[in-house]
Amino acid sequence: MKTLMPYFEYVRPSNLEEALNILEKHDGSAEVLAGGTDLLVKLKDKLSYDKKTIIDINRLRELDYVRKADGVLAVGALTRIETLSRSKLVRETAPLLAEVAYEFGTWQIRNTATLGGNLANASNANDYGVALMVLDAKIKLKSVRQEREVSVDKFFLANHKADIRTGELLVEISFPVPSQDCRTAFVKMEGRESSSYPVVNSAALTRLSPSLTIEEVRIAVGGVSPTPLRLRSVEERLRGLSVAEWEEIESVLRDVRNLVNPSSSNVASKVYRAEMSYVYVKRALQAALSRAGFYSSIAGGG
Amino acid sequence: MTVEYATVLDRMLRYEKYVYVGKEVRRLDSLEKVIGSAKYTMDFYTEDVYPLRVLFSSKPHALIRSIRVAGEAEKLKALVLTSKDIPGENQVGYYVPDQPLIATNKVRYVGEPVALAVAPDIDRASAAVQYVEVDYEPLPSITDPEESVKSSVKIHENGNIAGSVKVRKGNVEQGFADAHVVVENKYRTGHQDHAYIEPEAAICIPEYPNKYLVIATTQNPFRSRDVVARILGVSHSQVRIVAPFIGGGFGGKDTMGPILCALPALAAHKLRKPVALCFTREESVKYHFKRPPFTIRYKSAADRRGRLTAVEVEYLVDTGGYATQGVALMRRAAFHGTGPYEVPNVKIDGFAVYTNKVPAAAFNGFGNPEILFAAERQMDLLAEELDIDPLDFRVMNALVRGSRTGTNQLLDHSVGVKELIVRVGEASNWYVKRSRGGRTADGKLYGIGVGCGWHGCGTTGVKQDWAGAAVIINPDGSITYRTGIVEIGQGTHTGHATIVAEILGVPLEKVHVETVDTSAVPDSGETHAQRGVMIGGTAAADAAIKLRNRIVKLAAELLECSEEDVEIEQGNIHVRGVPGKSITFKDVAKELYMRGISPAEFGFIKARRGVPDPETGQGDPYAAYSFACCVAEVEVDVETGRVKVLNVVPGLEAGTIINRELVKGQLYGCALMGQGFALSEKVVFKNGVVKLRGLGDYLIPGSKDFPELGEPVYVEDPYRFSAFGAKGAGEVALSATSAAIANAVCNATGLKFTDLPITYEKVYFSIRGG
Repeated sequence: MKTLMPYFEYVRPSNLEEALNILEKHDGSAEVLAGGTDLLVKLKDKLSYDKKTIIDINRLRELDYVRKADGVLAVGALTRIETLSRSKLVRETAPLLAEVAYEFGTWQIRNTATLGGNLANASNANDYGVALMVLDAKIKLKSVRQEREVSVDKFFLANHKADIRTGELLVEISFPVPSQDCRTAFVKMEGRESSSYPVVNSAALTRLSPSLTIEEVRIAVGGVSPTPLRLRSVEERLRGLSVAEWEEIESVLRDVRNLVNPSSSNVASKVYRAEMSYVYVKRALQAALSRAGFYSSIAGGG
Repeated sequence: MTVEYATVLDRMLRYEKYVYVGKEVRRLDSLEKVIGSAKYTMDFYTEDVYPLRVLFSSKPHALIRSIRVAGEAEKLKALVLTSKDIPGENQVGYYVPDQPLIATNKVRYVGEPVALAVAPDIDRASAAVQYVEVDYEPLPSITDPEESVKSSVKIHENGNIAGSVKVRKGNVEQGFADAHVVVENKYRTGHQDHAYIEPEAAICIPEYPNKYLVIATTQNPFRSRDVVARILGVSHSQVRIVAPFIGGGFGGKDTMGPILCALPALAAHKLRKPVALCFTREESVKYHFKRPPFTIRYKSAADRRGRLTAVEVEYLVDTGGYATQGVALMRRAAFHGTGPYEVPNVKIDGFAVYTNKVPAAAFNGFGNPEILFAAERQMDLLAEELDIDPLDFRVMNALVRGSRTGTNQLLDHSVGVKELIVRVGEASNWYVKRSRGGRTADGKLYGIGVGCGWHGCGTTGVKQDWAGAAVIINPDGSITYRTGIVEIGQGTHTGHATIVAEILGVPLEKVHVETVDTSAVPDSGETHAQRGVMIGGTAAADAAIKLRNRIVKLAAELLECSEEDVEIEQGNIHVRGVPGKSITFKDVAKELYMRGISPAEFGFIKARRGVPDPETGQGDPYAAYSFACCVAEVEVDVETGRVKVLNVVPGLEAGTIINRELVKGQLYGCALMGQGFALSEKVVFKNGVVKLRGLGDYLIPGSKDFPELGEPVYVEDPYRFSAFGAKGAGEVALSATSAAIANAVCNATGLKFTDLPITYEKVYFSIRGG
């Protein structure tokens, strides 16, 4: 079926330099088209469009890569979600990213959506935002004038607002590969199981000592605040606890409800979102702990 | 319709010889839909069509003081239209003349059209609509129907009641006095959005001298034609509506159809250029009419032996700003309010009430999923009080041949619901599984529930019901078939072609179904009320029977045999018992033309109807009823309240099933739509505005939410007065599914939910006593 679309200029640069020049020239009046899964919905729904130029970066092959060097995994912004889910390197070094892909959108969406696009769209429940937070990832932004890196923790400013300045293009996501004994997990609750906005999502990374105390733990949660949240205060209190003291861990996790600041939507009320933030953070941690070698009736994940 | 078509066809075709009816037939449009060549309304959009945008009311209830168009609009070469530009009558009310196409001096819901803007392109049309300044004088608005009944704020001049209906049978006081158990509860159901893939769209092309062709996503081309003619002040014959393939309707494009056609028609009339309207997804979810909420007080009772003694119901339908079809679905709910059970004493009062919200639309089930959710919860509660298994309790009370309904209609044949419930019970292993209800494993509660539904076929509950069809035998033996029933995905066109091919004895692929066009057949009513096959298909049979008789007569002459001995099979005509003696259908077709015998026929039929008495509601509102029964299993995650539907076993009694695969599609579609209605589909309003942005935050079940869908159970009890004994199969299953799922959740949790949808959140807080 045809649909009505507003008028816009369309440019398709063939390399990064050209793309950055065009971005610079348009001075904020252009929008970048990567996978298009968010942008096309916007174009169809707002039949008048304020950004008059669409810059299609799909020819920028130099932004489609997954590589590892010096213990750092780097992913090009134009890497498709489906590529992440199939990449052997990703599965070996950061299986969390493949796990997120499995839960991400639908197959059609995964085939076209890109990692950079998912982050730039900056939904407060963006799955990769949450996952990359526990990987201590950095985001590289480039303009004609400069290149800068920003921690993913600081990248999200508000719901659908990211720290991308005029003229900048998100080019790369990188993080130190977690040590071999770290285990990760990602869980999410959706109002329906396919193709909807998460009610809440959560990622966890843990490392246990041989005596089953928590040596390292990182937790993030999405959908329950204006941006995805890294729960550093919770991590602090969990470090050093033994997984045998599950009651204590759980009481720490219950506090998650007080750290979040959800809003109500047609899908879920804020009270329910707050309750679920605790349940899903717990499930993410349980799943990660269980992978780290802690098996009990409590652990096992959702 | 006094002809017993099923009987006529039985005799004519000899039952054991059906080639297509009840057999596996691939739907005619499957290939073109898979490869993407099937044409939908916007596929007819071209560069020279002027896009139209609507300025929707931003106020739920307000007087319009003035409408001013800023000068900038003119610079855009845009044309802005208001109600003043309507040459005919500004009236689009479906059953009650209470609704303007474009608001004149008052708006009654957020989303009511206030002005239109057309321009050579969509950007200018969108910009122009921004330059329309409406000066509103806000009025107090009402969102709650119970409040509306009492309020001094009048939404319409005549008050806030759009319509009412009564059913009186026996003496309910006596029925409750005689009862052993009485249960009474208040139930609520919510708005439901149709969420069809194809949003609302229509293109109007003005033709010389003063004619209009409208290509549109409408389920009621004839009513749409009549409304366009009324708005433009022209005759029916000056308007032609063409309905190409429709990407889902579910009733929404029934209520909206005429409005969608009339808006671009008005602009095309002024501009003398083709004009297109296409809602964005956001406009669609915010402003198109929806399944209206019900508030139901339901009291029912049974005696010691488990027989129902009385049902007393009072309910309000929240019809929104206008009566639309809210008053009609209110009537249907009253006529089905008892559920498919024998009840000696019945008192039902229904009211359609205005509020300042988006108006009611027809939606699959049309009042029945709402009222039957309450009825079926009550059946479970009564069974529990009586300590009778809920499935057994339904079997004990089910309608049978010779039963009288709540409207005192005698059901003399085609009443297979009792056997259906028994067989669905067997197919689902009911008794074994029911004993596990409420058990927990791994933090998940298990539950199983049963629900039943029934649905009168056709629109006779509110108005006369007729349909036409046209069949032409071409000189090469191929068949051109025309109907007024539209293809909204349900597969009715394949059903009609099956009927025509079976009767004429030609291969199915020889029957070509034309795009629906109001100039090709007489008014055939709407594509709703599961009437497409039972009524529309019988009109096809009517035409085909006439032509078959003609073919048989001519073939007998050519083959030099008696008419009784003529057999037509897959395009070959031969003499019974004489193998070598035959002639092709194609040769006989050619011979019709050669001899000047008409090779074309119109079919036309009218459904039987006994108008219920307005005071007592006693009478025969529908010629025939279809029945459904469903068993559903669920699992409830205690920690989150999440309900997973594990398994659904649907069952149907809809007379003869013309096409099993297509009917299965309807049953599974109803199962998923019923799941959404019962568990997740919810529309939240804020200050009268629908708080939805699109389908991302409106939770129709997705593929991962599908339960295991069991092989359907069919009981076929043919209806004598329709082609091949078919009744409607499109809607009846929804009522059974949503009730079964709701009952299963109650079984799992031990909680007595009264409001739909039963969201995860509701389950979570209810389990915790909130």
